[in-house]
Amino acid sequence: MNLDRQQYEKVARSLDGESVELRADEQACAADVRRLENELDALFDCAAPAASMASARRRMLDELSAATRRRRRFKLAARLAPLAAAAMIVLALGLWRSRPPGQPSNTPELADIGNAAYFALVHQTNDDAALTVLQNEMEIFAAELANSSVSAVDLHMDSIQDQIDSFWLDEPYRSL
Amino acid sequence: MEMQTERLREDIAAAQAGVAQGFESLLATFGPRLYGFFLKATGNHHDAEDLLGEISVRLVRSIANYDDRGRFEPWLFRIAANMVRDSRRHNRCRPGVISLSGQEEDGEPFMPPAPPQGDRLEAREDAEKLAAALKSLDEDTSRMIMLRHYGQMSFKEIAALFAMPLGTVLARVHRGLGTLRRLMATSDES
Repeated sequence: MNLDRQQYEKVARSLDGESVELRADEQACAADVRRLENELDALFDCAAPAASMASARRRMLDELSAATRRRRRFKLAARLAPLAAAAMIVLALGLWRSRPPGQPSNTPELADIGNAAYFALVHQTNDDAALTVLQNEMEIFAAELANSSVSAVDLHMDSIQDQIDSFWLDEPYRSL
Repeated sequence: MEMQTERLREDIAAAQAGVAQGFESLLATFGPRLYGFFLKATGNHHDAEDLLGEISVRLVRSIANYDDRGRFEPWLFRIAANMVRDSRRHNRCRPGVISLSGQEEDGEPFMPPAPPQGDRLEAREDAEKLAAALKSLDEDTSRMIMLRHYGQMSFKEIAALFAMPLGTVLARVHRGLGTLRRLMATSDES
């Protein structure tokens, strides 16, 4: 039974289930492969020791627990992202408040900015209008900060930290 | 058979959803065959057990990448074949480790996990003869034959895995099966 490579390829495709027309010697080869595989099949089977299966099961479940923990951490981080953004807003608010007294106060009211931040946060920043308001306010803050005194900012760092702490502990955000 | 396929699909879906029972069911279904594949490929119970544990871990890590087209076994056994290849490479790089040649790392021959009796003794003897006969084949041919049996892989899938022409794969498998059959018969006569 001497087949060339192309003939073997035809036989292989036929054994894989393709509809291929085989010549007599190719059919004999296909039948021989089937017979040999069937004969040896029973010899390949062997039982896995219970201890090996139990050990594999333990390792698999350990990995599954670890993967579940990793997923939870990832989800938590994703949910904390808006909070982190909000904390930055509060930091900006604190910096704005810390500016030296006597400087002109032609910026928007703090309450409006706080409301915009709160609104965007609670709605998970899905609301385009709220985002626009928030972005505008942030730009104004950025301009304000650029003009503020660095030394004054340094002096009020404790108060800024308090602002952030109180923001994180505020009731609406704790439920997120 | 249809029920089995449906059940397998459910197990895969459960595992992909991160349900432990899905993974346990997949391990129960394929674990013994994977162990058999690893045992024949490495000739060593400890290596086979370790690889079975390792593939269980990899199953958890990569089940999300499996695209269910009814070809779970070839997918799983492709991972298994790659693990055997990596394991061989790794052990070749470790001086003094000869476990893949059928010896334990301390130099003692492999002892089976439990003493078999009656039919099991005969089955074990056959399995040992087959393991010895497989070792007489070249490594690739031996793995191709095992992937046909344990992984239910098509010749086309094996050709892709080994990056060889389809005709060459069948020629090697055919020749290998013939050699195995001859060696087993000779062993029976002696």
